[in-house]
Amino acid sequence: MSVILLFLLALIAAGAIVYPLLPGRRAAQAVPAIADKDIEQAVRRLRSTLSLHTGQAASAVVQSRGTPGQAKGGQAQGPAPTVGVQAGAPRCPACGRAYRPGDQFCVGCGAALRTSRLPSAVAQVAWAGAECPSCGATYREGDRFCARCGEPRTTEESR
Amino acid sequence: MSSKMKFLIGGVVVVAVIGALIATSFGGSTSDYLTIAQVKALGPEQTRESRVAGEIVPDSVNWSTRDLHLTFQIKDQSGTLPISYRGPKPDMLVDAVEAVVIGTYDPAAQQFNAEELLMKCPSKYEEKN
Amino acid sequence: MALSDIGYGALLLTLAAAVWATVASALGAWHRRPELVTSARNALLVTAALSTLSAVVLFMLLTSRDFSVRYVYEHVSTYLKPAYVLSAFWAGMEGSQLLWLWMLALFTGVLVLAKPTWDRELRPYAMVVLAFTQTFFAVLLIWISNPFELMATVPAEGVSLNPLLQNFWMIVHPPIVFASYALWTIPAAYALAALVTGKVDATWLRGTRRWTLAAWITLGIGILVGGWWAYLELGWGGYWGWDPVENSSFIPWLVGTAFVHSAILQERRDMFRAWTLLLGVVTFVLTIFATFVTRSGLIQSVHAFAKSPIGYYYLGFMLLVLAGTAGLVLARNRELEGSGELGDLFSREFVFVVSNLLLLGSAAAVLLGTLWPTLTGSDGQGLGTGLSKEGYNRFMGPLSFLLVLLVGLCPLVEWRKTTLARFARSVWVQVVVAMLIAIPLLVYGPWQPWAVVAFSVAAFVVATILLQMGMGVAARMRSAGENLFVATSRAVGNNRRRYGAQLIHLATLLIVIGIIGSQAFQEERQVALAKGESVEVGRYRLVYTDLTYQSVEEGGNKVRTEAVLDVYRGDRKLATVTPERNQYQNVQGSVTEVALRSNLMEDLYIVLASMDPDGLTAFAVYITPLVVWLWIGGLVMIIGTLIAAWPTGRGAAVPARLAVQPTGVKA
Repeated sequence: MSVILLFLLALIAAGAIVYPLLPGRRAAQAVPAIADKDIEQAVRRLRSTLSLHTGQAASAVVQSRGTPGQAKGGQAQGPAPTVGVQAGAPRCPACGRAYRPGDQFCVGCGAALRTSRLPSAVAQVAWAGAECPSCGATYREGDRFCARCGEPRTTEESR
Repeated sequence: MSSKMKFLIGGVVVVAVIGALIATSFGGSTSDYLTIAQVKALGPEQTRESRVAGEIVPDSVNWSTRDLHLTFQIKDQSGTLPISYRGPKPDMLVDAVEAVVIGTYDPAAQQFNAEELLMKCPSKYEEKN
Repeated sequence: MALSDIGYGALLLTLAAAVWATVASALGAWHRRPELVTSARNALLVTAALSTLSAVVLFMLLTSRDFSVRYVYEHVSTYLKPAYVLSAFWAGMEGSQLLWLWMLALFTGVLVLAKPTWDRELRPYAMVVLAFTQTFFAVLLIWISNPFELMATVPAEGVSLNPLLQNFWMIVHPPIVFASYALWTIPAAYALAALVTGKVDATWLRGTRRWTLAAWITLGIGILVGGWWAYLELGWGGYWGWDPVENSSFIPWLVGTAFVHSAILQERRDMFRAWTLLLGVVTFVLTIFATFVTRSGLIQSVHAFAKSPIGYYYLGFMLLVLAGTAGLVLARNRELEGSGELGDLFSREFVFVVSNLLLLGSAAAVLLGTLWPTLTGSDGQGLGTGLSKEGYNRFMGPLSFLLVLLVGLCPLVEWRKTTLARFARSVWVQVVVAMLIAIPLLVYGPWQPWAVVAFSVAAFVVATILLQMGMGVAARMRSAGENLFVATSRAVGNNRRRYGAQLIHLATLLIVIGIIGSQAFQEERQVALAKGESVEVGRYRLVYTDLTYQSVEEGGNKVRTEAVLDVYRGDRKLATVTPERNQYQNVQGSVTEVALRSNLMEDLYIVLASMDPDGLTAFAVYITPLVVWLWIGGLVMIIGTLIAAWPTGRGAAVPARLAVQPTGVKA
């Protein structure tokens, strides 16, 4: 009795194991090998996005020197101008403040933003200022939260 | 000095401190496992703790409630050793079960003063008939 | 009888499937034959199903008290309570190993059922490791320690379960510990897969994070439950004896904690890749070692199961895994170079390094202490040397102290570099708090100096953690105008890892405070009383009122003796407690049931030591301060881990690392 049961189990097990090996089934599975040409394509797209942002960042740094005191005091009343952001830029879903492509957290209220397509190393190029104590990314002047990890910037660090 | 060097030296210093701490702990707090014959051979100048294991001799267990004093004997291939222990009577103090006693041997009284008793946990034990 | 055949047969089939899974996933991955990998995946689902069948069979044999099976005969009896019959499954070596295999097979099944996303390349190699481990246990179960072995003649009654194991905790503690051991296999499997494929960046860490957290918290809770069990059952007022079996589960926890922190360092700064990989594998090997220590009788222990040659198999497996890992690390030397640069010594990176060294140093020391009798034992009559409890405390005390201190310092030290000025600015509040705690402690005396220092440091660290948690919430309240409740839930929700981790550290501090209180200030009294007499212990007055003999349950097998004591504080009666001492028919000797009254400040713990016919009854009374915080800390730790591991919804930002998807590739 137990022998029969075991035999049946062995049969079912063998079936499950052999099934994917049957000739008809093999074609349906593809190994997700990342082909070289896909990598090249990805790198090209990266390069173009990078050059776009480096250009923006340079002008942003120049601009920020001339706009003091935007960070301090008061609530964020409506979308405060974020330095270096072009017109028509995407806005934070929580507070409405415009954010830069590459930001992962809103610098006004700390809310999490959509996943950036840029590697974080690229996003770092666009910033200047003191360093976030939690993740090491540099703050920009006027940032109340770290754009990379959302760490609240304490008053000691914001100048 | 490069950062890597600094980290390496810092790491080595930490490891050295930890190592020293461990070494001193081991140095002062170990006790030798001895046979009963070896324990009996200890002279009065040996104040270090030792530990002995043996089978509990049947009918040797004596417990005084008033003094919370336990005496019994253990035996191994090399001999028999009287044990004296003050404290609550341990669970599972069963004839023919093994005990590990940790303490010091008193050659004058010819008995072993146990500070700690460890009973060998019988996860298998015999059915009583 | 047919049932035990099914159980054994299922094990045989499990072995076959596991072997095939090992081979097929290896070949399929290496030669890029996806159909082989799918076949291996199915084989691992088969092992999950069949090992479950085997386990169910053993449960059925135990519940039906089928004494023709040796394992059933050895661990149950007709009069054993049904709940304990369940726990008999893992009371012995054979059943415990079946539990291990079953848990591993189940977790592996869950893993392979999910569609590969981040681990398309890594998974087949991880499957090799998981399947190979399953093979190892199946081999042991089939040939060395078979739970379905039959008896030559069928006895009428079983030996039954050791009374020390007849309690609720025997039902929960071993499964929790074995589940954690099985879970630690998964990060190790992916570590090895990462080495084989060369993908040794933080990908494998991020992908296995939740498995690792599950393994870590399960092991931690398992250890705490074990301590609670010892406290309740063993009747000596303590919860940890540095017993080899206790130690062997603590060592992987220490190394696992080091691994978790090393993983964070690698994720953040891309350094110490090889170190993190090694720790992942070593933690797993140490869980195998823990199983080995409990089984092989290598070290004399209060818990040890009988000696057996099975130890050599365990040793072989461990050495194989370690050697393989070492070889792979050497082979992948070039890829293991991380991109992060080491900065200043006064940096969070260095704090992580030091904490790692402290954890690993502790683990090494406990391991050394556990093996010391074996290492120092010579042949002939010399039996070696053992490390006493004081010896363990002598190094664990300072090492844990330093670790706790680092928990407090870490958030105040920034990544890459901190200046003394910034550090001082961040630290002064907590230092003040620590002083405020220390001064009354010193004034009220008599307090052991080390305890004062320890409590002050604990206060410092708790203050740091609370400040860190509070600052984030306060910032939200200020800038977004949210109230406390909303700000807290949003802050935690947005930063689950950070807040979870802080809560876990807070929980650790609660446990540490419990340990300091219970170790430094426990009071113990042994008294012999006649009926009606009373004794003052601590702030309590205990009046011994009665002693009752009852012949109870299990068909007369158990004789319960109960002492009745009234507990007073001043004139107010707090409670009536009934410590017991029970005799079991098939065991000479008796088992204690402790009377326990806990509150947040201390535990009153009474043991009925012995009864004399002439009327004097001996009690051992322990008053242990703060011990309940160990268990509270454990609960908080669970909550913290859940928060840290909770899945983030869509829209939550993930550090984008080459998140650019190559277009045109179909799964």
